[in-house]
Amino acid sequence: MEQHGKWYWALHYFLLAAFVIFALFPLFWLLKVSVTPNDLLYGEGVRPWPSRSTADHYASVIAHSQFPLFFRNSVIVATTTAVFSTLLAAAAGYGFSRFQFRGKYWIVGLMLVTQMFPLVMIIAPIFSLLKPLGLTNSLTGLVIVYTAFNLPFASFLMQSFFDAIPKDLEEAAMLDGASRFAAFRRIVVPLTLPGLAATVGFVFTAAWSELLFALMLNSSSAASTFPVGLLAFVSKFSVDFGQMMAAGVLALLPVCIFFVFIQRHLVQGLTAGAVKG
Amino acid sequence: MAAIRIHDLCKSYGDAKVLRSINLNIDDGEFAVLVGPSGCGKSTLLRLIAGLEEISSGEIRIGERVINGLAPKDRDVAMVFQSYALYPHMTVRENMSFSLKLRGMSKDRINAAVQAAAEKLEIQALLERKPRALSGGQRQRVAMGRAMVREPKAFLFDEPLSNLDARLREQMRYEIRKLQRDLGTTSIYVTHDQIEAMTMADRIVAMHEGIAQQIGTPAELYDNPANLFVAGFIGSPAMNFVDATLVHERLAPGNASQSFVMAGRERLGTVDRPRALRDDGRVTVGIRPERIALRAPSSGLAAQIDLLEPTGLGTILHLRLAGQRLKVFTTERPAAGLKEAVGIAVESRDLLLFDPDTGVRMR
Repeated sequence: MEQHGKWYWALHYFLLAAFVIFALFPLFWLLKVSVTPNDLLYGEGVRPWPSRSTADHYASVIAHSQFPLFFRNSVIVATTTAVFSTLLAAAAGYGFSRFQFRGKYWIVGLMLVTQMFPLVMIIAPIFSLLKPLGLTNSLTGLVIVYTAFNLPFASFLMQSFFDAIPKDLEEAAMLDGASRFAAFRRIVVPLTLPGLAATVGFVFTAAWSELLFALMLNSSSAASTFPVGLLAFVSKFSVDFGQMMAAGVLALLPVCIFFVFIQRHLVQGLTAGAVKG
Repeated sequence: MAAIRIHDLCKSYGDAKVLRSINLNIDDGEFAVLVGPSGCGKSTLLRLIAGLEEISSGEIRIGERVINGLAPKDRDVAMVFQSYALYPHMTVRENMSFSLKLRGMSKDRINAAVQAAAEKLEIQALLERKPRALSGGQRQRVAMGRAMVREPKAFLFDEPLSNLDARLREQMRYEIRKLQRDLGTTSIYVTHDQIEAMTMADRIVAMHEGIAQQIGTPAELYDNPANLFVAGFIGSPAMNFVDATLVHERLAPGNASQSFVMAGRERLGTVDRPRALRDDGRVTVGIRPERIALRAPSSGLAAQIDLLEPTGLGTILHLRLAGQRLKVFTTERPAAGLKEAVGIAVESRDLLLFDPDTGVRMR
């Protein structure tokens, strides 16, 4: 390791701290506004913490709004999407990584092409596809759309994790008496857990916070997810910032809990390949 | 344990022919080494036997069974990889018991088998460790152990010592060979290192460009190479090749004519007249560096010393003879120094003649 002076480290930590503050400040403000009573909201607008704090916003969000329903919908949609996308992406990624087959080049190319267009362009066609199938105003419709859109990137992500696992290991397992599937299950999957965690995390967050399709495909509140629900706090003449922020904090919780669980795998997964053990 | 019979085996990827008509019989308990430069098809041949690649045509038998279409798991062969391919998420014990577990063997029998193999390899103390906590040599032993516990019909080794340093390689070479002798398991060992091939093999298969150039004992390949490739590949320092001509002369009237090997104006020696002879009389002469004797400058063929390479065991002299380069290996301390003249002498039986165009040995 190189030797550096204390100024080097001071600058080092200063920059890191600046970045962390920059990144986390909006979240802090979210929390701050969510506990600020309405009458102080504008009066003490720039104070770092209100002189009185309250949990009223949380209480009314939970008890008097449809937010719990939206929240439940979001959990269902995001979890299902994450599970399906990761399973399919693992299968596709394994195929791309291990097998040579006709048309592979074109399939990969087409999957890349799907990532090139802005989503706004295809909302109308998607809507007219789902409408006659009865998949608008339904969570199933959202899951299908989210899975389809996340699949290409998730597949490439999984492929890179499979690529990092030497073929020798599977071949050794197959010579040891395992079928290809058994070698996959007993050798490859345990070694790809960090990759699976990273993919699940990526897809879950993407589905959790998606607004555009959730807004356009589902108009009934029974099938709305929480990002749509947040918009409900914006009325024609005013915005109920307190409740909106309280709902926002609540919506952050599952993502935070989720990441606490996969965090260890995720860091491992995202740095895999950079440093070979 | 079983014999391995390979008949007219071919393998191609698209238009590229990687293996051409390989015929090979490996006897029960034999240690066969496939040796050749990279890209010669030796690893492909091993992978075909293992079932990791499909053959294009031909037949492979292990024992009495044709295994052409069988999945790797059904062939009952064990392989030791160059990378060792130990399962990183399993302990040494789990690595070694993996195949037995898949077979559904009882816990007690698995433990006994693992224990026995570990004792033989002296890795009992490592059983609970993960592969990443092992040194290269230890990983090598575990890989061996994983192959051993299964008691397979054959061991396949794919350059297993390439990742070890020179000293450890020498030691493992000995250990693998000794272990194989004890177990008596038919083995096929792939390497690009001719010293490994020479020291370990019962029989060597020298491969080049997808063709088995020569199959024989180490001594046969060394003393009687079938062509220029084998002659040049086996042996270190490598064999000298000198462009020469065969000249036939009748020394006295009534005598049978004799054949002389001429390099420029120098007469290297007399040889028996080969049966197949080219019209122009050109030959490539192969001479092993250690079969050339050094003489005083006044006697023998006159050569000049270009470079001296001491190896400890002896010295390699790079000479210039009749405009051609020649290496001589001697265990004596050479008296002559750089740029000085030296005389050399070669016995006629040490002159091996090859066709300069086809490379085939002329006998």
